[in-house]
Amino acid sequence: MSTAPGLRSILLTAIVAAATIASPARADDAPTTPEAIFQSGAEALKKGEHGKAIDAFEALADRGFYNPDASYDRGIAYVLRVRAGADRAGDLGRAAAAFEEALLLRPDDHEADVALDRVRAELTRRRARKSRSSMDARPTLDRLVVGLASEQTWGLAAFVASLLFALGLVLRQRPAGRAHVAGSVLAPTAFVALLALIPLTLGARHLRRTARPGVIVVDEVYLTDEDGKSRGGDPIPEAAAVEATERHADLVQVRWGAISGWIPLGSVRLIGPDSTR
Amino acid sequence: MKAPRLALLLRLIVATATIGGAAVAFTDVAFAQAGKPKLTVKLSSAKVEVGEPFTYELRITTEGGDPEVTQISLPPGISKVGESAMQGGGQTRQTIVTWQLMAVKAGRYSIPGPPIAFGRQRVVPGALSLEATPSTGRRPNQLQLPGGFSIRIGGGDDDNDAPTASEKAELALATAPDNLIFLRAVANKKTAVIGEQVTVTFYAYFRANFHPEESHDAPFDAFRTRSILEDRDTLQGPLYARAGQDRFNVKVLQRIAAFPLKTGVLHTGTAKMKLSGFRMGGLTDRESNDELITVTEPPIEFRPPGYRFGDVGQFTIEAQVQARRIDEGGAVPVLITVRGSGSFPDSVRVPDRTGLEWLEPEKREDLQVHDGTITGWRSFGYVARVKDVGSVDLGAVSLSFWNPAARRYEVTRAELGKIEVTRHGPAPSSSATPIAPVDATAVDPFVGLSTPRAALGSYVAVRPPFWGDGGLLWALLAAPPLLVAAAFAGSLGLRNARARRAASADSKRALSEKALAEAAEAEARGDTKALAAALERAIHLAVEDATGLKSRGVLMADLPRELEALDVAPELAAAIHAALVACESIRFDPDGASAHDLGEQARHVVRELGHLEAAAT
Repeated sequence: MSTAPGLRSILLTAIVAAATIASPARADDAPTTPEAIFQSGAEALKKGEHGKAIDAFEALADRGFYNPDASYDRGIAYVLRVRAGADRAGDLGRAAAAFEEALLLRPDDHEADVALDRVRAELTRRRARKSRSSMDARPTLDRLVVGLASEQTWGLAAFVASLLFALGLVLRQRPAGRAHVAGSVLAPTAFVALLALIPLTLGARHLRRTARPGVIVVDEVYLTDEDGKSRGGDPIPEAAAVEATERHADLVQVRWGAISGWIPLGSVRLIGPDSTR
Repeated sequence: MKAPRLALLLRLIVATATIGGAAVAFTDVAFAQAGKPKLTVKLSSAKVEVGEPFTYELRITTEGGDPEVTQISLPPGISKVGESAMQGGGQTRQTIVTWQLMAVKAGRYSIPGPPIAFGRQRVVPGALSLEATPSTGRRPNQLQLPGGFSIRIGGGDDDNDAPTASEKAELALATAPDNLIFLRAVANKKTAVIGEQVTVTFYAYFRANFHPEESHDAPFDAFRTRSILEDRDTLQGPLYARAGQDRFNVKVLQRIAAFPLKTGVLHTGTAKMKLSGFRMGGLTDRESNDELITVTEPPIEFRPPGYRFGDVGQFTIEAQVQARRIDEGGAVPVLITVRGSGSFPDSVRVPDRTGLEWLEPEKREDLQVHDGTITGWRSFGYVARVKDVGSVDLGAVSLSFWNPAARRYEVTRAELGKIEVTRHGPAPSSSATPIAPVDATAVDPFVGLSTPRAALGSYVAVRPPFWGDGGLLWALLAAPPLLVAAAFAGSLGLRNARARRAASADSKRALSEKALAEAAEAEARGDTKALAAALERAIHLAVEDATGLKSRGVLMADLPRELEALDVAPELAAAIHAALVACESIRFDPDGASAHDLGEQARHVVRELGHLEAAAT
């Protein structure tokens, strides 16, 4: 005896519906350790499931877990979403932020460097397509010099200069001879070096304690004052690297090149561990 | 019997209006005809108990004049308890007449409307039906006024009555901000996470009848809000509460389910109202308190991937794939339904992946207020465009949310299963010439990007310098020069000390002391001559040290005078002279005097000279 097609259809629908109605799963089912979350994200990336991968890598960032490989994969996940044509506003900026973070954590990560260049190039191309000029901000000289080395490097150099200055003073006490001459040259030279290195160390320390790198993750954002009133001028484009300093309500103060101002907190992605706390 | 005209100009300013539309359900009959007075009549309740007071309210809106209202004609079994009237407005006048009635006998009644005269027009509102049931003792002497207010009838002022069961202890206040009327906001919780419902109730505490002329809700700037005033729990009978020493009527004006949108200490803002009333004079402003809610993020520990702030409540998710077989390039409708209670999500996580495109969903919802919470369902009608062919696994939809009751994260998930996508036309041959992109912009800018990393590699985390943020850096930088400077200073000091010590060893005083020591040794040996010579030397050195006078070159006879010329006391000068003479004598006559006495005499002189030198210094 055959079942009527209509009845079979109803039965099939009911079975499908019953199968797809799920009971709530506990959060315990979700991976909890950073390593497990990373693995779930990496597997999702392998399957092309960029949505799930982004969720996993963003969850890692939310937990304050930093690893250049996790950051790199996060960037790749956003790029994958862009390539799939399912990109959302700011995806390329977020990808750039992820690659910047990977480079921050591992400065010699060549792949992250290349990926960051590709993302920025694509953004420049998109801006050009919209007849928007490509804007580039150059850091001021002080930031450029201070940024040449870390605070520890500057500090150690200053310490060495201090040691040499002390040595020069000792040698200079010799009554005569080569030692006295060496001391007479070494002491003032080291003193001048010390005078130069101390401000650099203090500048690097100030940056470490007050500024946090960030990347713009919206199409473009205009600077405002502390009350949110627009200051005019050129906008900061997506994927631009900025320094975030102070936070006030929903605004954050950023420095982009030589200019600084306030932008909405949601328009910038702060990267790397927070050293300002 | 001709009904007497009711003198409406009594202007009994007794407020009988509603507050914020928060009235109990009325039976309404409205008349609105152009050019005629607009009438509204209603009963406070269509079903009452015998002995339970109720009101019959008549509202008349007229243009350019006041109407005249005749007395209401009541059927047998209904008696009048009282009446009040109020008029106001400018060109457009409004008259409100309220009769307080009571059923004295059970039964069904039809209460005819009182005739109204306005100019030459005469209008009679339609009759209202009332059912009176036998008394159960419920609210025997409470008169319900329009707007949900009530007054007692048949009793005196009970402001200072002892607390009764009808008073709400949780609404009591230690002090009353105002002795007639004030507004109060009460939040059911002071802390919440983003998206967690905070119920804020706005109350009016009043001891005098009032009429709300204008009201403004609290702004709730950082919240998403929904009024839950219609909830059954909210619509309750008259409330009473103590504020200070007085008993107040309490009316729920508004109840808001507020869902915080961000973290921080958030302000609900204040509700404001302009009031008029008999005991309040003109328009009076009243403002509620501003409730502060501390909002935090839900805990980061165990937060599932994909959780979005604001998804708080208890939910389950269902999914229906409405076609299991489609053609290549086709789309499949997927209906995802979220059921439960709380702050419903604005979207769900669909399985985004390459080859599957999810179009913007069509949202539907049926949300009700139940037990003070938002309950119901919200559906998302997606269309998934499938680019692959063959058996395609759609994956699963999921929703992560924070369950505030269980204080934990939960994830609800529904599998979408597989669908069959049938290909049309021949499959592309692997040997076929690849088609060049027509548009150069179609070139994938990310081709050749490295593959994702499958494992976490090691890296050297950037750490803050070992000297930290304190003063260790300064100490390190300053230490070498300071150490050298300290060494220089120490060396110099040492040299100076040595020089001082050396100079000290050659001083007259030291030599004098040394001579005294030699004298003591000579005395011990019994060598009188040596004793005399040592004592003489000690005295001369002491004199030179104290006065600068080289006494050895001065005639003995002249010595006292010379010493006195140098401000040495005559007694001491004489003693010095005597001691020197004694030394000389004993040298030539060793047995003539006691060596011991001479030693004592010389030591005394040296000591006195030392004092003299110290005083001069």
